[in-house]
Amino acid sequence: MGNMTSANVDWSALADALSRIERLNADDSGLLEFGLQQRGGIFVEKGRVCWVAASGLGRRLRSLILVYSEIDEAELDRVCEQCRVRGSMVGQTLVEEGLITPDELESALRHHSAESLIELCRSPLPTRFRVHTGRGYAPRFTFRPLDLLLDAVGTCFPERQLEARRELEAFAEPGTQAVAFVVDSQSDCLLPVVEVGTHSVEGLRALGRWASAMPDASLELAAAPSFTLAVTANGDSVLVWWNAGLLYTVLCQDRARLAAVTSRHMARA
Amino acid sequence: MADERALSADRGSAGSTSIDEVIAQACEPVPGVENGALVLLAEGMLLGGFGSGRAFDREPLVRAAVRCLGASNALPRPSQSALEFIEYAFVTSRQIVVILRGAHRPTVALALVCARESNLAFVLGAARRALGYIEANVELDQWGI
Repeated sequence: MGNMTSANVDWSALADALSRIERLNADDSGLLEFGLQQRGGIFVEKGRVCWVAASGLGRRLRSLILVYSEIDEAELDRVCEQCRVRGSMVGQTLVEEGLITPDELESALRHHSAESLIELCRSPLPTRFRVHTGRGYAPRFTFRPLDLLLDAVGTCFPERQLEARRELEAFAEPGTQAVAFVVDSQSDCLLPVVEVGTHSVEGLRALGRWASAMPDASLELAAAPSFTLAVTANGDSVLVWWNAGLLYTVLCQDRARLAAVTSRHMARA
Repeated sequence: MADERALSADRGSAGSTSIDEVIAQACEPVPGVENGALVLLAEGMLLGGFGSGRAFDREPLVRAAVRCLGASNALPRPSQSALEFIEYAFVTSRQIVVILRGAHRPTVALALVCARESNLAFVLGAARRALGYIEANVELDQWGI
C-alpha cells in the first residue's frame, strides 16, 4: 500500500480539526470544510466521523477497497456504475450486496480517511463547519475523531504502530488507560499512535505534552531509564517508558495496579 | 550558582547549620542516597546540596527538576479533575533519581540520586520525609519563597 510520509504534515492543525469535531453536539451532522476552494472535508454524522474526502484522492478509495476485500475490479466497476446511475453510496451498496464485509469497508474507509486528512493538513487551510441539510450519512460506518487521529499517525508510522500494539497488548485489561506515542523527529512532538481505554483527542494532546518532559529530563540527567514513575498528590501514578522511537504511558489508579504494571514492564524489558 | 556556598552559609537556619548541612542531615535516612539538590523551581536555581562533586555537578539535577516540575505539570482531563504530579522517579540500571515538589513550598523541589539496589517505595517514602524536614528547618521565607 505504501507508507505516507509525515513530512510537512501540520499535526497541530490535524488535531485541531478533530478536536473541533469532538466539541460538536452529539446531534450535529455536516461537513468540516478545508480551504476556501473546498479542497475537501470531514463528513460528520451525529458527532462521529463518516469519511474524509480530499481533492485528488477519490480514486484511492477504490484501490483500498480492492486491497482490503476479495472483490475483483470488474465487479467493483459494475457496482460503481450502478451507484452512479442510482445516486446511491458505493460502500453501503457493496456491503448490502454481500460483496464485501462491513469490517472490510470500515478498514478501507478509515484508511482512505486517514490519507485524505493527512493531505488536507499538509498546508495551512481555513476550516468551517457546515451543518448538512440533505439526507444524512450512514451512521453504521462512523468512527470517533480519535480513531481518525490514530489512523493518520499509523498511516505515516505503520511499523511503529504495530510495535506499539504488541507492547501494549500486555497491559490491555479492563480499566487500563494506556497510550503509545511516536516520537516524530520532524515536528519534534509526541503523536499518539495506539490507545488502550477511552481517551479524547484533546486528552491525548495534553498527555503527550506532559509526557515529553520525561525524556527531556532524562537527557538532562544523561540517563536512560528503564522506566519513569510520576505520582500525583492523591496517589494516582503514571508509568512512562520509551524505546525505539516510541513512548508509552500507563495510568495506574492504585498501588496494586502500579505494582502489576511495573513488574510486567520489567519482565518484558 | 558560583556563590551557592556563600548563600548557603549566610542563609542557613537551624542554629549555625548551613542549608547544605540541613539537607544532608535530612536525607541521610534515604536508602542508598548518593547526592542531592534542593532546587528553586521558578529560577532554576540550586539552593543547596550534598554528596560528591561541587555545585556545578548538581546542575543536571536542577535542570531535570525544572523539566519535570518547573512549568505547569498538571495533566488536564476532560470531565475529570486534572492530575497534579508532585513526584517523579527515574529508574535506570545504576541509579534511582527522585524529584519531589515541596508540599508546603511548591516552588522548591528536592532531587536525590540513590543506588539502584534501593527499594523504590522506601526511597520515595524517605525522600518525602526528608523534604518535609527541610521545609520545616530551612528558613525559606527570607528568600521570598
